Amino acid sequence: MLTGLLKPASGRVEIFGRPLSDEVAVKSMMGYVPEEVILMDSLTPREFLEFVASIRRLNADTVNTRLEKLVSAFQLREYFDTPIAALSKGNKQKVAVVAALMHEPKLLILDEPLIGLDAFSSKILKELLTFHASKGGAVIFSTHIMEVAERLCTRVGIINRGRMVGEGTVDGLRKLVKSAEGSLEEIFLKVTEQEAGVQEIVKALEA
Amino acid sequence: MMAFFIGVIGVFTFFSGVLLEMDRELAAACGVSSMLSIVLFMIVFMGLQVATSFVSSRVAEFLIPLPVSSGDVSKILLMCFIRIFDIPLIAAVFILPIAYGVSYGSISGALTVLLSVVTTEIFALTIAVFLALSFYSKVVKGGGGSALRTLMRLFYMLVWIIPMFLMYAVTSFAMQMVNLMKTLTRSLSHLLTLLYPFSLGFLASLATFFKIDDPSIAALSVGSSLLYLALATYSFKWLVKRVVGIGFGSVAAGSRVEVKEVSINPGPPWLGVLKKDLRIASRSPSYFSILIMPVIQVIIFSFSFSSLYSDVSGAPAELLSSMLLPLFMFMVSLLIILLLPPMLLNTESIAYSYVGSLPLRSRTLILAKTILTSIVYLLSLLVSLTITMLRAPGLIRIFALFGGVSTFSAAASIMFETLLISRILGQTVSSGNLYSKFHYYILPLILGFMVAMVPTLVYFMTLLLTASFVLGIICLTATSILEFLIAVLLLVRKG
Repeated sequence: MLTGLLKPASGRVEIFGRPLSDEVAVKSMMGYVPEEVILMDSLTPREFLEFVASIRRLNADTVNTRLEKLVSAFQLREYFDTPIAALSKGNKQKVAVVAALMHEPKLLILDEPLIGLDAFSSKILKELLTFHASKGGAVIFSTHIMEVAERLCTRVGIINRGRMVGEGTVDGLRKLVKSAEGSLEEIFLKVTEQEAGVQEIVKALEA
Repeated sequence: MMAFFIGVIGVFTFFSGVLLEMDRELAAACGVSSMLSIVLFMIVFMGLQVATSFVSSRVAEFLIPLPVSSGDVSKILLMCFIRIFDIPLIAAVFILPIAYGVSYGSISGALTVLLSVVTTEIFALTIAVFLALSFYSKVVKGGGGSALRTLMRLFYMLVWIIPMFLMYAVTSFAMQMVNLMKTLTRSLSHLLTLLYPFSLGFLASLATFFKIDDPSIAALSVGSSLLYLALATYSFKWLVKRVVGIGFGSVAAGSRVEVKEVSINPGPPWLGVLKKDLRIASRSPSYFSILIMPVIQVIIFSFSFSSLYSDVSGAPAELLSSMLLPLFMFMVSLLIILLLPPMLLNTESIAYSYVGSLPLRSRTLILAKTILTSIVYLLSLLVSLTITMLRAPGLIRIFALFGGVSTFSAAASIMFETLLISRILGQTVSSGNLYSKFHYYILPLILGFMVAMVPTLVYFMTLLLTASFVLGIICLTATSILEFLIAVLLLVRKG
């Protein structure tokens, strides 16, 4: 909904003081990596990024300097003129990540961005996200891998069946489930009341 | 939709062939040849899109790990492919032979038509898969590159797409070509008998009436038809092999080239959309054929309705009659041009899950699509003017004047149509299959056509009321520009 792909039925959302209805202004401030990266297959990364930069009205000089760094960092140089159709899932993911980062957005919305990335690129992205946040940028990061969320995120929201059932820092969530040491995965299972279910299923499978 | 068109055109062609005051044998040969051309053209043209998706998908990925044999996987893949086309294929196989059999009262004729339709369907599927494979591997291997490479890609595509349109042109010229046989020299008429789809048309006629005026033509028709049947059998084997191969992912892998310079050249958003559309069109035969369809259609119509040229060519320019040809050409071009915006808007469904998050205004999108459609319109106008200059130089001034002024109303009608489509579909404008949503586009299409016709109506009404050609042209120009300004105003007000 924040990315504009779904229309809100009710309620009010503001991003950096701008209402969601101010679609173009809001979208200009954000970079997005979808969970399922479906890009324009017959274009090359160069052509796709040029299209995205045109829509975002980016200045050629500024964007090219940034692009050079990002393409080198994510080792995309040798695929820059290869059609997206011929790229591996990981390389497509890298193209989407570069497209999301090239305009240096204030807000990054990343839906499972690490899936498909190799260890090197994954590390680079994590470092970039930490740097982005340290400069005052915001990152909304959606993941099913609790270890990643625990390590990267300052605040965690747990959504169960479409409802936010817990939100805060990891320590804050520990207090919520009255556990001093549990991992985020354990907190998640407790908050979503699935902990007992897991034990039962594992026992049944082992039997 | 495709099945409906094939059915309706087939029934109309065969029944009207019986009613026309012409040689029944020739009518049968013409009708069958035309219908085979239509079936071939429609299945290839519309099938290209789905065939390309099939080629680029990895359909066997889910099947191969399952405990089924390779032979069973092959059968499933083949069924998956045929299922994409099933309704039009079945419609053609049932409706056309039945319509022919009822029209001419011949079971043997109907059976020959059935055989001819099956042969044509195999050819059509083979061509669709061959083109899809050829273009896909060219895209995958070829990459991006310079403007010259883009031009080369477009040229390569033209070489393959134009013969398809020529096949479509057969539907317009079948009558003339078969009639021509009466006047042609013996060797030339024999040549026509050898050509697909005429050989099968003559075979159907022969199987219906069993009347042999010229034994050599009958022998050639039977002989060449047998050759086409053999070719269809070979094509079918190739098709099965390739479809199964595609399913198993045997399409060429992409190339890797270390690029020296990582730079892009972003422009204004509308230009970005325009360039993106052209780049996709240069690599996708389905989108490319949609873009050049109006231009080709103008060429075909200018030849198939050539009597309109000869009626007025060289004669003193009677105002009403000299307007008839430009008006007719304008209407034809516009009807086809107005089919472009829905198709171009549908290209936005590619990667919508990402593109939907970009700060792209609706008006920018509509502006880009309007500019691209208008360029195609101007191109078809230019072709039309060139043909007029060659065939009826006396008409060129009125044609240029009418066509030039109409550009404003054409652009206005494109904008009105696109605005209405985006209003009807709202956010879903950019998602889903074009053919499944075709009913949404009917109303905008009618509105667009009405908008385009208003200046012409104003022109004729002025002419009838005042008998002043100059006043008529002034009113035509004023109405066109007014429509254009209103459309621009509405576009500017759109978010």
